[in-house]
Amino acid sequence: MRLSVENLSAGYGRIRVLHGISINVDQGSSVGLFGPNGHGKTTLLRSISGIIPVEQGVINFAGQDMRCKSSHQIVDAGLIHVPQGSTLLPRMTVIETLTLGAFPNHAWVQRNNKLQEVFDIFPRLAERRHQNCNTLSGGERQMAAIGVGLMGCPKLLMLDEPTLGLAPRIRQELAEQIGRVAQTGVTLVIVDQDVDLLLKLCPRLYLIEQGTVSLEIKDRDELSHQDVINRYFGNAA
Amino acid sequence: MGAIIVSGLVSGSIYALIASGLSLVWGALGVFNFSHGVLLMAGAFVAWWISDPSGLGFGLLTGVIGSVLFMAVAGAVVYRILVRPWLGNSNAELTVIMTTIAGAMFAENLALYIFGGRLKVLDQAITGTVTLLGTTIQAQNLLVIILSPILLGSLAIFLKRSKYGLAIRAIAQNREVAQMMGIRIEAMYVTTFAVSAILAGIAGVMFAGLFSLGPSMGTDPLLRAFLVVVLGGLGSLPGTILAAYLIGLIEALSSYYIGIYWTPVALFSVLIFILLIRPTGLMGREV
Repeated sequence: MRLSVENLSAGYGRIRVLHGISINVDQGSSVGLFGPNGHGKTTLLRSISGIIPVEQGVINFAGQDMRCKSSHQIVDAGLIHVPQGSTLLPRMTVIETLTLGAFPNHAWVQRNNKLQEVFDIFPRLAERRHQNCNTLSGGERQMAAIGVGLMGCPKLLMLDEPTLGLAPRIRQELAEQIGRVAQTGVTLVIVDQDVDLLLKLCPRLYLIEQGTVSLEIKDRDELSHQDVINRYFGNAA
Repeated sequence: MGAIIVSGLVSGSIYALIASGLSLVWGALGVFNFSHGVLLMAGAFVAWWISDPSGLGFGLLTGVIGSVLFMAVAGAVVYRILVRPWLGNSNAELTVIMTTIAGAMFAENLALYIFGGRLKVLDQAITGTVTLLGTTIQAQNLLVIILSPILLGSLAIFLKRSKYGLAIRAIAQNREVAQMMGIRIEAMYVTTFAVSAILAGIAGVMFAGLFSLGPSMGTDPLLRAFLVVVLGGLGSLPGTILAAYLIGLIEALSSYYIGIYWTPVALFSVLIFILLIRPTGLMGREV
């Protein structure tokens, strides 16, 4: 179940955000993406999941060309995107929202088992199951968003800034839970500003700058934290 | 007084069916379907054509079933031809108002061409009268009053419990998240239109059973349905249903006490008054 993106260009209208970006994700080996804001990390995920059109390049997942597929076909193939700071479905309950996450037919038949799995990983969602999504806290909302992704039986789950704006304690809790998701055999692509978090969860990292990969860290052990910081913020930091 | 309430409940029931379909489409797609009135007319005519001896003569039950099937397809066709091509454009809302008005005019004149302008009568499902709490009610009226809440209840269960119903609500609340869940947006839009058209068709059959059929029979109910949808709060199903019965009852009361010519004035006065207090309608949300 390999995802490879080659020389991908995409953007919004006439504004091009991605300039020939290439990344590779091997099965079972999670990948972290980091880099400054506004340099195309989210756009990359959005073009992989078919939300915005691709101008140029190749997206291959599990041997299939994903570039011309519509977003529901991409989800059906097991490539699921958990969007950034999602408001989810504000006036639907947690359990309704999670259930809908199992919309693809192959996921729908096992939705009850999946729901149990999600509640095992995120016990707080079980407590909140009958609340509307707009009454959830930021951390719970993020848990629900990841839970929705898991309900669709993903082979590869792309998380866009899962810890954005969360208090350190919740961030810690969520990081552990994301680790548990990885242990269930789901390959992760995680975008985050928190390089420490990424180093913990992902053996391989990409630094994305100006719509392209400016550094690939193939083995996290090669690089100490300080190197990343230097590279990321310049030596002054 | 009993007769007034019965008449109000009957109109309310029919308005609720028409307006909930209109509201469903607005909620999911953010467009108003001005051909909803001719969908009502089409539902009634198909039922009439299948059931009446001067048409196919298969009886009322076959007519109603045939009408429901036809309406599902008609809803999908309206979506594909009159709505889909303009969705996503920056001014889709206005464009779709015009395309659906155009479609409505076309369909109305087509019906006039095929069936002629003479009013027709649909067989009543049941005849006779029932006396309830000292009021004598036509059995057909009672059927409408009972059947409508059952249908609206089924609609609520569909939206609350079924996979596709949940998906329609999801699209209405957050299209992009729905897309990322793997929901087939296009298929759900077609489903929304089909459900909405079926409701309009059933309302048309009820309407035809109580009054008569003509090519422009949908115009007045459509106007009332718009009033209902705005009064109830755009996109809110409980609000729409509440407003439908409210409008039905006010209409019945005012036609009895102040006369039929002043009834629209009374209805719009109530609407304006309520919108002054609650600009989003009875159960609408802040946008």
